[in-house]
Amino acid sequence: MDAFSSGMHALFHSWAIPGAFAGVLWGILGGAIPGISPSIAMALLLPLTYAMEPVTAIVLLASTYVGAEYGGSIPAILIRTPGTNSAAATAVDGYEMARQGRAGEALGISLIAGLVGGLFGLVVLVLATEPLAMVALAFTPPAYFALGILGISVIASLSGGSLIKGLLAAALGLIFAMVGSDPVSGVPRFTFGHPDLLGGIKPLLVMVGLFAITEMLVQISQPAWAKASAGQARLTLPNRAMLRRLFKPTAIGSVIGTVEGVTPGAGGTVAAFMAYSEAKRWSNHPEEFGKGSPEAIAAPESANNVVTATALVPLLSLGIPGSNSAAILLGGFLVHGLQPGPMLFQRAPEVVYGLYGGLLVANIAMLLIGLVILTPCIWLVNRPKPWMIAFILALAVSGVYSIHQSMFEIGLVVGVGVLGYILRFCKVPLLPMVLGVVLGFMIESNYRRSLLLSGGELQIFVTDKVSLGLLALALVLTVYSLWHELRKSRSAKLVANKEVQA
Amino acid sequence: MRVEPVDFTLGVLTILTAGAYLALAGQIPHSLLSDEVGPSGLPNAVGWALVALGALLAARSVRPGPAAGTRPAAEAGGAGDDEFAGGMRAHRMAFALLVMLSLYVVVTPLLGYIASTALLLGGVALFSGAPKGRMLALVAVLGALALWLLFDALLAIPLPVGSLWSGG
Repeated sequence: MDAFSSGMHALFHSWAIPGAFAGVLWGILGGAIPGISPSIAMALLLPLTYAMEPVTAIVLLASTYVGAEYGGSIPAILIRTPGTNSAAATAVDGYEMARQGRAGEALGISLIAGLVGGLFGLVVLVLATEPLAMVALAFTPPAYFALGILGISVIASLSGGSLIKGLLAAALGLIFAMVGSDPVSGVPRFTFGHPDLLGGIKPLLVMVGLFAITEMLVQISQPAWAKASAGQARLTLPNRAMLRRLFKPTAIGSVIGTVEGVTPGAGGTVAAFMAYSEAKRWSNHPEEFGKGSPEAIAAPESANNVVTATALVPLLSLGIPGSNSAAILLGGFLVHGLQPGPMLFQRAPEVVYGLYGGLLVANIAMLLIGLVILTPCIWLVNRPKPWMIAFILALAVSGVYSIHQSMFEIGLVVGVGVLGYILRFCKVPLLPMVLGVVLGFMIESNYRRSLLLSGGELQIFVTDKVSLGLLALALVLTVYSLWHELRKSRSAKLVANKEVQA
Repeated sequence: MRVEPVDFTLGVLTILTAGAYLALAGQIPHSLLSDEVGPSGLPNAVGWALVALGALLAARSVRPGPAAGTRPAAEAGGAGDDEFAGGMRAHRMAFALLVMLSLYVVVTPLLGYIASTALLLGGVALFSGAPKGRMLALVAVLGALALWLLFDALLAIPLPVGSLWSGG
């Protein structure tokens, strides 16, 4: 209860509530621009959070995620171009409704379903992460090492079909993590005599490079998106009869979003498409799906908004980011010297409870801002793409400069962006690289500390109960992921062979 | 036999990178304060893991079956993707953007934040298709001023003035 009241104190005696509104606003605007994913909108803000109080910074970033998921549905409905990946499922029926002159109704359904989903997800987040506060004190260096290994074990599910490429990305992340002073002896490693590298490469710089710069390098050659009509700028909230009809698909979306959100690598896009498919299966009017069904908007929109909260379950409880957006939020914690995981509940409970409160405010802010934001969003969607790219780049480099007033760090971020471009071209997933950067230090330092404590005996990792449990869980996850990957690759081969024979 | 060129090249590059990394890891000095694992322990492990991953990737890219042209599109590496559908044009544009960003890093200490950011904004917008004219220059300069106001005036972050103007 003390932790709860300190969280509420932090929330109300800081800039966290205005931060929640600002984050939602920024997220909706960012999400409404096709090509700007929630993670990019968050990455652009990340350097600016450096000087903020931890609660304000985390609430601002998490609220951006909430806002971006709704923002993504705006161009999906108006111009059939999803602003975010997870809004792709909404584009089908949303655009059909817009063509029938019901764009405002579709946007209203998206807003309300998103609100219900976001609040449902928040309840799940609080209930699921709370018990972990109890085991936090049992964490020792071997347990932290095991926690890092557990994080690495989810790489298979984040690898997008190629475990080798996922592991390659993670190894590259570890290479970044090992630049700077050695955590035990202080010996400089891979600094090339450059003083800027002695303190290591901050995960924040890798994230901005991989998500913002890489995306712009890719976007520059992509064709411009369609224009939205200003005449569509009127949002209509669903009436009581419609709300009754939307109850079932919203509930389906919420349940699916919960399951997918807590599963690393699944995320909002998978959740939205699964929710669409299940809502159609359970609908009394499945024939309307694909032709402008309100249920086909409610299900995916509630699902991807549930994920904005439930994706934080593995992050807050185990320190494992299951999605790009969760990785950026993790960057926000690290910027303030906070390591998500069980000890976070002991070391900075006010941040955790402040985040819960901030997410509640963010969902209310989404409703309020969503009601009035449509006209600015349409204006933004209609801005020329060349200027969008130019301003996003300028904002990214200015944000990076603002951290340590270092041009060297801008150069580093550009370099990481180029690496991200090459990796993306080679279909190497980027998220395992972030995982490597973030977990590298934790794994190495705690492994070596554990060995120092045990006099070099490896048994310490199995005699410590928490460590043993986490290592066993990592083993189960790895075996399951490998089995799943093998099965998927076998069925893909079968399909490919059939295509070749045909 | 068919070879996935992107995966094969990536595999070979990974092995070469790992070799260079292992050579660098071998130069990490030893310390009397060091533990059993030492500062080069994990770098060596990662280096050898990269060698193995590169070899696996290269080996997996050579497969029995029809030539590359007949394989299903879904299996094709990199270049077959929608986001890189522009082929070499996409890479050229990305490279040009990289050059502009690199120039920004070099000229900012000289020209200062406002001038170099205006050049970056105008240059990137022009290159990616914005029409030439007074409007381009105006938006670039006003945009740079707005960003300067946000960071320098509002967030109190000192931005480079430029050695050319300050005489430094």
